Amino acid sequence: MTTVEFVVRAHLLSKVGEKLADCEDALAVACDMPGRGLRAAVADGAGSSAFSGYWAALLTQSFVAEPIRSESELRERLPALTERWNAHVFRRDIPWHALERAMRGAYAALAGVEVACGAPAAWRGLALGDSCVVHLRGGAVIASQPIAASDAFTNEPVLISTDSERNAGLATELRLFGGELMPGDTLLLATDALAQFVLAAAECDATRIDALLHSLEDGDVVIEEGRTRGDLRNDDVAAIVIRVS
Amino acid sequence: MPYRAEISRRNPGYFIFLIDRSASMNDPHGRKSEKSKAESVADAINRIIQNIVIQCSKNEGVYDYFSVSVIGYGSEVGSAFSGPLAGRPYASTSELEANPARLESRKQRVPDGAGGLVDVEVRFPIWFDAVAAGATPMKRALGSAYGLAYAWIQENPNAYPPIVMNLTDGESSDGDPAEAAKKLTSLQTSDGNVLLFNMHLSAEGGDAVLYPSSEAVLDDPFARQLYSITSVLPDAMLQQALAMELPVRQGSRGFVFNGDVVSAIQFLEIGTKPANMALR
Repeated sequence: MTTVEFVVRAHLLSKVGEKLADCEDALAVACDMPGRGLRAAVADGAGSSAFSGYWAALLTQSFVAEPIRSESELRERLPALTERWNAHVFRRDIPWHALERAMRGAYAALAGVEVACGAPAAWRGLALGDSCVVHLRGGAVIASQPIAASDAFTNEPVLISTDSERNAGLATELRLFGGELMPGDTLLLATDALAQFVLAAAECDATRIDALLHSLEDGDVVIEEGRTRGDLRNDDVAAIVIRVS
Repeated sequence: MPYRAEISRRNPGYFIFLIDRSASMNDPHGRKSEKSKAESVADAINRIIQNIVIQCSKNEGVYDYFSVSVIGYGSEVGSAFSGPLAGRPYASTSELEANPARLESRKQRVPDGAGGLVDVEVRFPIWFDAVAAGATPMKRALGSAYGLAYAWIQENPNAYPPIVMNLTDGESSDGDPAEAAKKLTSLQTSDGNVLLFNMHLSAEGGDAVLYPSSEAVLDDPFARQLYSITSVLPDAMLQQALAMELPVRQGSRGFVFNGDVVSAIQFLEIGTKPANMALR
């Protein structure tokens, strides 16, 4: 059987001036079992909700443990995750303000992919909210889900909530997609600030994308420089770059 | 553009509440109310401070996005915090979180994730108690706010400017407050002048005047006096008022005359709008 190799680089950064412990974005990667391929997910906990970083972490960990392939699978998964979130949050010693905020629930955007072994590698993905999966080939963006343009990011994306009553938007907003990865292809999973930055760079000058992604494989400098220039919003960043070698 | 500064721990915001504690605040707040004006204002202030602290809550800590002053004016003028913060001219949000006078308990229901509800005991913090005695030295209260805002601006020259919310049920007893108000609102940061909003509380009920943009709608000389010293609502607060379906338009001032309990809560929500915006 022909096999394929992936180079994976993950980035998790808090806002400038904040500690990594305050970061409300999360990521997870698993390639732990031979023949099962690779699973990866990023999630963005909404800053306006409580313990949203923990909710984002639960969503990414759950996705890479067992990929979610449909809206119904996602809905089946959520009660157990909410139970874990409740157990973490509603403890007897929780401060009153955190409790009040927690009563309003937590919200997060999620983007995840699973990539099978084999060449070409079949892959499938899921995204909701403003965390994106961008597929690049030959230095160009060939697809971006669920948002395809840098000016399409809003302040009010539909997110996954700990409160099932507030998840009606999943039915219309959840995106499921997939395809095949060729040698040299890249999948970028990124929360909103970096996804918007990358899409804007591609719209401005498509030739910049290759250099930008290689920079991401080398480290966080490109993120720090983008923030300094003001091209990249000062927001938490979770990103995973998967390159097929 | 003024009133656009992003609020962060490096560039915090500042709310100053001026609360009339004169003897007439013992009267009921409207004909149907079982509570006095002093009690309903205390409830509203405690709730709004609670909301400010909750907005600053990050996991189990509280970030210092804001400072808060509560100045009472009645038989005396000064800090109106109860409990550990008594006498303090201002407190940061983390100090407020750590030092309520007391916590009152009650039960609330939250979703269990499977379509059901579970009971959770919540605690309601109290920082400010109802007091009603003496006259209405509004001029001195505005002077006190000037001193606080002046000192704060020296420390935070580029921050969102201080927002002063004055709740009263009567005319100033220590003279025309116009000069003191003008001096207060002449203070500025690089993001704009100090904002002064005024709320007059009704004892009798009757029609309230909400956020007028012209004094022509005001018959009462006292109402005109308060209107004249009130700031125009910045855009974000105007949008907040529109979202609450209040009758505002461009040029509306942060002024309510003859308002009831509901309009007092709305008034405080609009004035503290920066606490509900994205905090960095």
